[in-house]
Amino acid sequence: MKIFRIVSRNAYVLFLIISCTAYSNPELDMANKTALPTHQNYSTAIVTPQQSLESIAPTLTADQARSEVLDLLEHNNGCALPCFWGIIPGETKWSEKREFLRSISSQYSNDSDEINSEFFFADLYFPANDIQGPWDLKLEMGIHKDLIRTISVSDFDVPSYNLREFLLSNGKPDEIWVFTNSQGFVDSPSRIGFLVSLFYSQKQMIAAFGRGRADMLSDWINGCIQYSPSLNIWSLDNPFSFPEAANFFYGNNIIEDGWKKLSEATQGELDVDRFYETFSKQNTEPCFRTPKSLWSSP
Amino acid sequence: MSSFLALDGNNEGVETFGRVSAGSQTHAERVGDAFRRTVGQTGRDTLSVFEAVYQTKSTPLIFLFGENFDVADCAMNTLNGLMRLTSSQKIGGGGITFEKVSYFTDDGQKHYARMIKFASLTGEKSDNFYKMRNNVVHELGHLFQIAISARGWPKGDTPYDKLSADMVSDRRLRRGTDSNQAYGFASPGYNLAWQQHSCYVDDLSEPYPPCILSGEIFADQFLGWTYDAWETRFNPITGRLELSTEAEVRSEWMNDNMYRWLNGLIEN
Repeated sequence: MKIFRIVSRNAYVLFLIISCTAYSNPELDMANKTALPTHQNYSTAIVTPQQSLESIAPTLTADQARSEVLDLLEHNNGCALPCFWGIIPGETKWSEKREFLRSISSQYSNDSDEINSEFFFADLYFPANDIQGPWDLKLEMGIHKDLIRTISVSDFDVPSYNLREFLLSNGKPDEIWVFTNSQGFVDSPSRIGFLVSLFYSQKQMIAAFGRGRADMLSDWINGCIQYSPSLNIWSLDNPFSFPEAANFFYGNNIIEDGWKKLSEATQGELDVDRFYETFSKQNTEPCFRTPKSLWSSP
Repeated sequence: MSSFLALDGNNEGVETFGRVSAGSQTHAERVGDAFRRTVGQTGRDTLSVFEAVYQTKSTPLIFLFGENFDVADCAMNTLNGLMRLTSSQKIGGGGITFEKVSYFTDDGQKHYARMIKFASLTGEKSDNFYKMRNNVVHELGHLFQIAISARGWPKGDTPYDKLSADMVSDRRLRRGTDSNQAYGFASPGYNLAWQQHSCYVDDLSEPYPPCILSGEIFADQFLGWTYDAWETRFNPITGRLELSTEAEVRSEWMNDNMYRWLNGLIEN
């Protein structure tokens, strides 16, 4: 069961805005998608992603909504993570985004009376694409006094979020963590899941590739990163370490569960620098090996 | 013939299975307790409610445990000595099978029993009792579907069918393929404790891996419902852990539908 063992219960009490730089083209407008910058020129652009989001008409068909969502996933409304779709944790108000987000969502729910609640979670689902085709992307936001503090995004797959593109857009992570098992299952004894999480301490962001696969070899496990990651972005009073953030967002203790840092998982064959060099600058399949002896059985 | 039987085909040295096997009645009682709470029959003992739902008086339930199918079959020999099995019809696959077996009693009458054969358990190699226990309860969730179908419940309103239909209209009841996500269950998929059949165990190259289909989702919901264990998140203002949106939806769905199904099963 989820128990927040590490995170202090006061974690939210004092919210401080962390450094969060977002970029956009001042001419950016959802109605003029050809003006959207590619990730290469984000660094020269200036911020105002919110305005463009609100320029969308509120009544969209499902196909139009899907198209908008796919466009947002591809171009991120002209801003760069940790700004997501123009939402900057710790800066962006829910009341500014609410109508637009609801207009393109397929389902919306929250866990309380949002008018009278000091804090609540908003959960929105959007028509998007995932690995089995049309699916609903999930966006969960923790909102304190109308300010969006946490963003969690999952269940989508688009080329702009594959590992190479993600590294090129977001740079080298500060830490990389890995999880797998030493044994497959009866139905598929040689195949098992393979999870890799990238932690960006300055951006206070995790990109978790949770749908990788590994092949069992005699002494090694050969794992490959696949599909788009889930994202967790936050602006809280105290910066989280990766285990704290994982505990906060996933409710699990990654140390107890057996997650390992990349260099330990690969026994020094890969560290963060080499991972970044290998998988961002060369068109290399994002796979690496880890000794079977390091991992426990499921 | 007892209405409930658990046999361990492993050598005495294999303690992990032994503990789960020995605890099988406790797991069944826990499930029976969840049934009893739901229908408000707190005056009845848990095993009698379990028996009424799964019809184990007329169709005994047998658990066979083994570290592989050969070992599980060793337990069949013991079972043969007890009840003179005549045939076995497998109705499931994988590391765990559901079988319908027939046997004769001393008076020559032919009877049937249901058998769940465990050739592997989540957590067995790491000796994680809770994962193994949860695996057993997850399978009792599948057996609930079998029990309802066997009682002639209208097609379209069995657990798998009902959940499948409701997943179309309510995204919160679906499960995605990301093993880091909890999707309302009490642990993320990779952990396997409360998502016994998460997508971590499936080959995602299949068009529709079982993990995203209603059968495995229902069995995991059945597990969460039995122990009232769901995904929570921390509310900093109340200082409490509260159910996530998806957890709340799953829990309510189970409470509403299990109430209906259980009342129907027990009344009949």
